[in-house]
Amino acid sequence: MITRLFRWTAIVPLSLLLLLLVVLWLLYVDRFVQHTVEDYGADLVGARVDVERADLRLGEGRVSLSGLAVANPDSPMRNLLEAREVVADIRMQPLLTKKLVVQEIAIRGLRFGTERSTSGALDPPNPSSGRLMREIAEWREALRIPPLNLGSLGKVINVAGIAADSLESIRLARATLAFADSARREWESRLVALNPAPTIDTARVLIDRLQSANPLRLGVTGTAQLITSSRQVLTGMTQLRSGLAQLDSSVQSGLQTLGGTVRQFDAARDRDYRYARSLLRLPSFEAPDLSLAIFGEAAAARLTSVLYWFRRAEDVLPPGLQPRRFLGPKRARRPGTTVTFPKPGEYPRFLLEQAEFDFSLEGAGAAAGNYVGSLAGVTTAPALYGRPMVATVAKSGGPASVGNVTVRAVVDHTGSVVRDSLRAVIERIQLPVLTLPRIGVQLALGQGTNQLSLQREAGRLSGHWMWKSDEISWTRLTTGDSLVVQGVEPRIRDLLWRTVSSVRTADIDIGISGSVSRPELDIRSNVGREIVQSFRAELGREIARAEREVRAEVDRLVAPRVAEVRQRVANIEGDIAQRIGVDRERVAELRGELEVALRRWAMR
Amino acid sequence: MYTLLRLIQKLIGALNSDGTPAQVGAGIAVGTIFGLTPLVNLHNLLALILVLLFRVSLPAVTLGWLVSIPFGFALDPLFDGIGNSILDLPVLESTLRTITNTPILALTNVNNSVVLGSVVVWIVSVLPMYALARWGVALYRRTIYARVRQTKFYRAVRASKVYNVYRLFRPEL
Repeated sequence: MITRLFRWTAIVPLSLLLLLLVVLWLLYVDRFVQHTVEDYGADLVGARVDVERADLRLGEGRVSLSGLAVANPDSPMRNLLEAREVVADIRMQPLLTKKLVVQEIAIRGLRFGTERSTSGALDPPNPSSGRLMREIAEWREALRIPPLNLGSLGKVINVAGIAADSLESIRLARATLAFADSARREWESRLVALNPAPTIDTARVLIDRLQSANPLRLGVTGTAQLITSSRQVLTGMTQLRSGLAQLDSSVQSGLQTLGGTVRQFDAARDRDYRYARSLLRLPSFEAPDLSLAIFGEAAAARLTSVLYWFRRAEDVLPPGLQPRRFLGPKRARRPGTTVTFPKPGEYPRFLLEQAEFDFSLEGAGAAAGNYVGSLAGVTTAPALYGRPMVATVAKSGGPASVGNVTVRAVVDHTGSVVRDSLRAVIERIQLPVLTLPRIGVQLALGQGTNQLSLQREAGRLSGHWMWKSDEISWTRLTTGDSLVVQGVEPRIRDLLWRTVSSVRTADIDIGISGSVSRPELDIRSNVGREIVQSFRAELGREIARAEREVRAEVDRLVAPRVAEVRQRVANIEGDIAQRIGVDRERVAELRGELEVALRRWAMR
Repeated sequence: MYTLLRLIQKLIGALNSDGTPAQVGAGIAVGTIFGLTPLVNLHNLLALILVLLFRVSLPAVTLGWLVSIPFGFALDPLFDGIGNSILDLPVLESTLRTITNTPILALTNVNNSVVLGSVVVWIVSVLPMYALARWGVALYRRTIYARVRQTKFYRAVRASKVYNVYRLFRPEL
């Protein structure tokens, strides 16, 4: 049966086939490793990772990569880093579970920021890093950077732009007048309906009759008629008194409302002053605000890459032990989704236990020197590894004039709450050149100290980025590059230029706080303070004049309407309220007289 | 030319006389795994070893493979969906966790949606495919083959030298 079932003659071809597979493996394994590193690396970084040559020595458990170039996702025509040679000692057993565990790695010939001949952007872009880039770009777009408007300074203030309809006082006055007119009409119609005059006259006549009438002369019939009349008049007066009291209460309540509204005019006018002032876009000249207005865009641009890596760390080193989904391998067929299932006690999909590297930055620049660095605990499942990723870089030697360099990053995703921190102090480094179109200058910060301290706990981010330099230089932007020149008087531009060009040191502190996805910036700088002081001194009178003109225009528009409202309220008080008061007094008086007359008449 | 000729030989031979309908049917059914599932995977190496060791018709395996390739590409979205559904089943999470963390088993790539979906579809359909192929081959031989074997083309292919090479792998009747 077995003889009929098996094809024994196939043993030899099968052995040859397996041999062929082994030969193909040996021939192509290096290329396989090369492509694997390139694919994994691109997934990790979000940009192209190129390897010139890979060499896998299974017997020694060693992988060597030559010509490693990692493109910068922010700037695809530059490399984030380039390494001449990378030698990694790997554990063999995890390979049988498709896991790569690198025990040690040595990196030689490391260089940063080198130029690329081809773009390092991924095609198609990595969905995860593409999403991050989009979100960060949206954050930059939505970032609230206060405007710095100098266009109105030094000019004739154009108050024609203040429309009456847009002023709150005017709207309030119109509403108050409408209310007052409507209320007055209602009260008058109610007063007419009450018609107090006939009742008052009848009462007067009755009092006279009671004073002159003698019960003996009237007889029984006459006396009964007089008593009935007296009761009717008393009832009528009681009703009239009640009606007048209700109407008076309604009028007093309405007048109280109107009085309250009139009292709101002062606050409304203050708001109108501020609104009208904002139409002129006069700068606030508050130092922190001004620094944010000046440096906000430049700071946000430089912060994007830091935010990108902070948030990318969460994608690449996810907390927890939940299954993770990846795009499947590249092949002719659909890649599908590959799901990893981390298991406690097992190795993660990727783990770099320890990496030591050193590199030299050549040249005469301030950053020239020898550096040493280490990287530990880089893994796709930090909860499995149980220790945070720690990266350090420090300067180990170089010219005596060169300052200290210390970088330490801790990425702790071992628990359910993400805790990351980054602290970098780099002294005497070439600081960036900041183009500041809002004030029409370019600021070259020169050599100085770059200090970044950033902490993340769960979804909250906090920290500071400081640039300090005493070797700054200023360049005036040409008209085309400068936003500040649009509509700004030459005198103001010259003042601005004189002010900033006299500043010889820079101390810029970018405060970062809020959520990781949408952090807020708070910038303070000596440059902002200098500009404020200079402008306050030079333009204080001008700004005060502008504000006076604005207030006068608001007053011109608002005052007549407010006066009209006050007059209308006064009219109501002096007319209808007074009439009601007089009627009430007369009714009360006559009722008293009637009661007295009745008592006297009864006693006769 | 040689390759093409050999391929035609295989396909015609598979349908006509090389092996019993059961061997040809089994060859076609097993061969579809190479076309339906992503080729470079451990399960396909295992399937290759099995078809070489067991007496199934190798030309039929080739036929099954070639015929199923377009179906594999066309059905990839379906495989992806089925695979994702299975990978998301909480009841299987523990099993998948064990498989993907066990040496060698982890190399099967069952944690890939397309691989898992296509393998599951193949497992479900292999027996019906076998029965259908076996019945179809028997029917073909009774009806069409009797006429095809009289054609000049068939006789020319059968008389060529490479036919001897091919016979090495032909299952015995």
